[in-house]
Formats: sequence, C-alpha cells, structure tokens
Amino acid sequence: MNPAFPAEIMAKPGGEALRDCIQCGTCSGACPMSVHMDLTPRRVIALTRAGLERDVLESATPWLCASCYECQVRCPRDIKVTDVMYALKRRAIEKGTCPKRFPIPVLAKAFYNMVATHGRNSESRRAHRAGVAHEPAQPAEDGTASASSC
Amino acid sequence: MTAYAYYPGCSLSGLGKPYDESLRAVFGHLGLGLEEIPDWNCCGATSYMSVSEDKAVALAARNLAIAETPRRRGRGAVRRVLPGADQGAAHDGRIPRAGREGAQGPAGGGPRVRGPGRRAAPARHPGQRRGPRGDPREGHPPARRLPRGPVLRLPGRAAVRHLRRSAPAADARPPDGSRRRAGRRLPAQGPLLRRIADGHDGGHRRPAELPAAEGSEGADRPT
Repeated sequence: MNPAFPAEIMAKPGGEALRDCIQCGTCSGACPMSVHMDLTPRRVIALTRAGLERDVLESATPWLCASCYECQVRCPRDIKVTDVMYALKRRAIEKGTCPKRFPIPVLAKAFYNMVATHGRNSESRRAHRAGVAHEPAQPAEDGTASASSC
Repeated sequence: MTAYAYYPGCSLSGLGKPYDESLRAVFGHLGLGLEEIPDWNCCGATSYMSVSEDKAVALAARNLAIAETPRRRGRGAVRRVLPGADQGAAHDGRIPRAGREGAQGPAGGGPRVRGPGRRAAPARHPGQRRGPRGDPREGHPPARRLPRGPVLRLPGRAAVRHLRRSAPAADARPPDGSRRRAGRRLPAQGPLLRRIADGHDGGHRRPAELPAAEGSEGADRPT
C-alpha cells in the first residue's frame, strides 16, 4: 500500500474530486467495457483512493477503457473518471507494472514510438510491428521484442 | 469557392479511408473546397495519451498552429478551419483541449509550436506527393465536382406533405388485412417513393414543421 499514490493520481487540477466519490457505481453501470473488466471502474476508484497501488496498476481495467467518457459525464460527484484511467495508464508505464499477458500496453508503446519516429501512425505499420513483436494474442514474456511490454 | 482546412488524421488516412473518400466526394458535389493541412501529425489521442500527456497536448497544438496559419492571402485564402472534420476514431476531443490548455503560449505554460512557415516542409515519408505549390500532400486526388447527370430525385417537402394529407385514415385497411394503405399512390418512381406512399416514413421521425395529416396520426404506423 502506497499512501502517496492517491495524491499522485489527483495531481491534475480537478483531480481532487476523487476524494468525493460516494461509490454509487454509476461509472461501472455506464461503462460499456465493465463486463470485460476484472475490476470495475467503481472498484478502481476505491482502490486508488485507498492507496492500493499494486492491485490497480496490475489490473486490465485502465487498458480496457474505451474513452467513451460515459462515466465522466454521468458521475454525480464530477470525478473525471476517464482522465483518472489515463493517469493510471501513464503511471503503470512509468513504474513498469502492466498486466501480464496483455497486448494493449504493448500497442500503446508501439504507437508512441511510431509517432515519435514518423509523426503519424500508419495502422498497417503498427499492426506489423506489434505483430512481429509477439503473437497477436500473447505478448512476449522474455522481453526480446522491440516494442516490449513494460 | 469557400474552402475549409481539413485534418484527416491517421484514422481517415488509414482504416477510415472510405470515410475520407466519401467526404471528399460530398464536398465536391456541394461545391466546397477541402484543403488538407500540410504536414499534419498524429492528434495524440487514446493510445498516445496513455503514455505521455504533455506531448499529446503538444501534438494537438501543432496541428492547430498549422491549421490557423494562413497559407495564401487574398482571394485564394483558406478562410475557415473545420475542427470537427477529423472524424477519425481517435479524435477524442484532443484538439479543442489543446486550444484551451495551450492557448496561453509559452509564457502561459503552453507548448511552443510553430506552423510550417512560408517554405513547405520536406517530405516526411515515402509516397508523400507534392501539390503544385510544393505542399506535401498525402497523394489524394483533389476534390472534384461530380458530373451533373440523372440523380435520384427525392420528393420535396411539399410532395411529402401532399402524400400524408391524401393518406386514408389510420384504421382503414384493405380487405386482405395487410398493413399497406389503399390510398393514392404516385407512379412507381423508385423504392423510396413507393415506401413513402405506403405510409412508411422512411424510418425518420416526423419533423416538427410538417403539419399533421388529418385523421392519420399513425398509431399503427410502421417505424
């Protein structure tokens, strides 16, 4: 448990609203991806507020977020849930604790590297890079890939 | 001719290419110009934002700076910026957010970005074609007007009103019990008109300005 973790996620202006969460579950109810998540958005907010960093950063929930902003629009406490998810993703990449056997973080890093090199993202190039780095549904565990998981 | 600055993004240049092509065709048919902004870069949404937020805002701000830089003066000037034109899947509100956060410039903490300037930027990747002014373009054909020819003639609003007024009462059914109305029918000009004559409103909601037809409020109107 990391007591400084909530403050890091709430660093952006407007992030202090995370403290006001009433755990109503509107975000989980509105989320189209919540049925596929191991931890629903409501639980992620609760765990983030409690400082249980490892559980949150190793879950697939922020990576499954589709950025539809339904949760953020509907939250009765005006918590910017989608922005919290982005902050969690950035934190997971910084610390290197991404969920195992999950291709989405690999995809994000490949995307980032491709934009850094070419300025744009050619989707066929991205699919090629992510595909040769590992099997499409199984990220490489030995870290030999160029766009290796964190 | 009014020309709009156009930002396709990676989506409309990649998997969303059909959308880009239909957009250009429609703009050509409407007589509006669509000018792709030169040397645009990734908008910095979703996947990119998951890695770095500051750089994502800088990407969007650069696009804005390029779009707002007047590339021609006088009669050929591109007058308007169409911010909603980047309909790609990764749009995600990046560009308006960059406008809010980056509008202060370097002194206000915003990123320091510049447009391409007078000289066109060099080609960034193979396959990038240059237009007549040296602007790097993606190799799309220019927007062109479609030839005037036989097009589907849809009924105007007056014709639709006429059809609704002349429709029989809602509970009037032909003897065979089918839901098709036994009212006046226009000569068959096509499947759309036939469906309207049958009382099917094409799946659209009735616009507020159309007067309701007498006695045919359509409680059983198929939708």
